Parts: sequence; structure tokens; C-alpha cells
Amino acid sequence: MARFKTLADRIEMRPVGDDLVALSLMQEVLASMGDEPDDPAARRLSVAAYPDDKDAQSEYERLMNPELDRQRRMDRDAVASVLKAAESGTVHLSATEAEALLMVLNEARLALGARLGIVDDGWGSDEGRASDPVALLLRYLTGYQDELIRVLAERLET
Amino acid sequence: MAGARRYPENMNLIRTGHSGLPAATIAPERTDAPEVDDRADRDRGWNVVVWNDPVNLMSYVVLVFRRVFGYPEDKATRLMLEVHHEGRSIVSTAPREKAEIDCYTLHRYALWATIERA
Repeated sequence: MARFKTLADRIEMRPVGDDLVALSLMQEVLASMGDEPDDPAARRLSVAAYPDDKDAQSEYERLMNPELDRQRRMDRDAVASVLKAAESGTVHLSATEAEALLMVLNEARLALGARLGIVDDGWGSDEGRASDPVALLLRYLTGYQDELIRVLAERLET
Repeated sequence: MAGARRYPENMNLIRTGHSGLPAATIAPERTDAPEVDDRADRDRGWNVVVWNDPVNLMSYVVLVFRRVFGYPEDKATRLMLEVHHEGRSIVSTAPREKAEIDCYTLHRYALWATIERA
């Protein structure tokens, strides 16, 4: 059963299987970022625009980081509201909500990848991580995000 | 650093939508004129570079390039493949403020983006 379906001006989101459990864990992953000093997940989501220019980077952070933090909080709040509604079944996402879900899914996947120490493209077929719960969550969210991307890309064509 | 730049504290994401879809771009409102302008910056511009990340899905990167820059699918795919195979790709070249806004928008999507002189 498809998780997402395009409607006229909305995207229908139908939770299936363990979706809500995985998405709840996704929220926990993001909420836990920064709890540990030198968390690789927090580092991955804080990319330097000017990695070789300390002064330019400092100025960029002063200009951009407050807004970036605010937007990410808004995205996570929007996703939290969607997931709360989804506990009762199918929900209809606005374009803004679908965008927020897309971004939050990616942030969580990158955070998980950083904590797993993934550095090459072959991680999806790494049997050594088959039973690692962090890796399992990453795989689940990857499949989930892939379905959302397909629906959003289809809408770009129309 | 040449020129004290000041962007609004509260930049609004404008979701203009390509064919009804939200496209995350930012209104480049300036609250203050630059104090100093650098001729070299104007002449050469600044490249926004996206670096390979093994966790980002290829389809996600293509979607982001289409959304952020309005690139057609074939160009977005070509740039994504360049990131994937070469490790990096210059995805836009623009004056510094525009390059920083592009970079910020890519960071919103959690892509690994940096800025360098063109």
C-alpha cells in the first residue's frame, strides 16, 4: 500500500507498518542532537560555508545560523503536528508540511549516518550492520524518504 | 573581510512553487547597503559547491537542485552525478550575497555546500 498519494493541492500520507514508530524514533534522534559533546550528528548538520576562511565563516554564521536554527525548529514542530494527527490515520499534507517532512527526514538520516560513521556509498549493502538498530532505523527512514521524494518529484512534472 | 554585510534577521522563505510545488528560496532583502564593495568579488563571482555525502539519496539531491535553482531535470541530474562521481560540483556562480543565500538554502536541505571564489 502506497504511503503517499498526490491530491490536487495536498499529499495524502497513510501510515503503514512501523512508520509511526520509526518516525517517532526519528524525532528522538533529532531531539538528542547536541546532548553529547562533539556529537558527529550535530557536526554533520552544521556545515561550514567557508571551511578555509575563519573570518568569513564567523560572519556567515552570524548572519545565517539564527535563521537556520529557527527554520529547522519550525520544520520539526510542523512534523510533530503531522505525526500527532497521523496517530488517527491518514492525513493530508500541505506543500509546506510535505517540505518540512522531507527536510526533517533528511536531517535525521544524516544524523544517523554520522553516528554510524558512514563514509562511503556502500553502506546500504553493509551486512555487518544488518542487526544494528541505528542502521535499521536509517534503512527504514531511507525507504520512507524515497517514497516521499518520488511523489514530490512527480508533482514537479505536472 | 571586505564590506560589512547585513542580512535581515528574519529572512522569509518564499515558496514560489515550480508547477505548484514549493521552491525554497529566500527574499534577498537588504537592510543596509554594503559599506565597501570589492571589485574582484564583482568581477569573478562566487561558486557554490556541493560535496558528495554517502547518506543523501541521489533522487533527493536532484529534487533539491530542481527546487532551489529551478534547474530542469537533466541539468539537476548531471550536477548530481558530478557530485557523486567527482566528489563535488559547482552548482551556481553568483555575486557573494546571492551565493551565500544559495548556500544557506542548500544547508536548509542539509546538503554539504560551501562557497569559494570563482
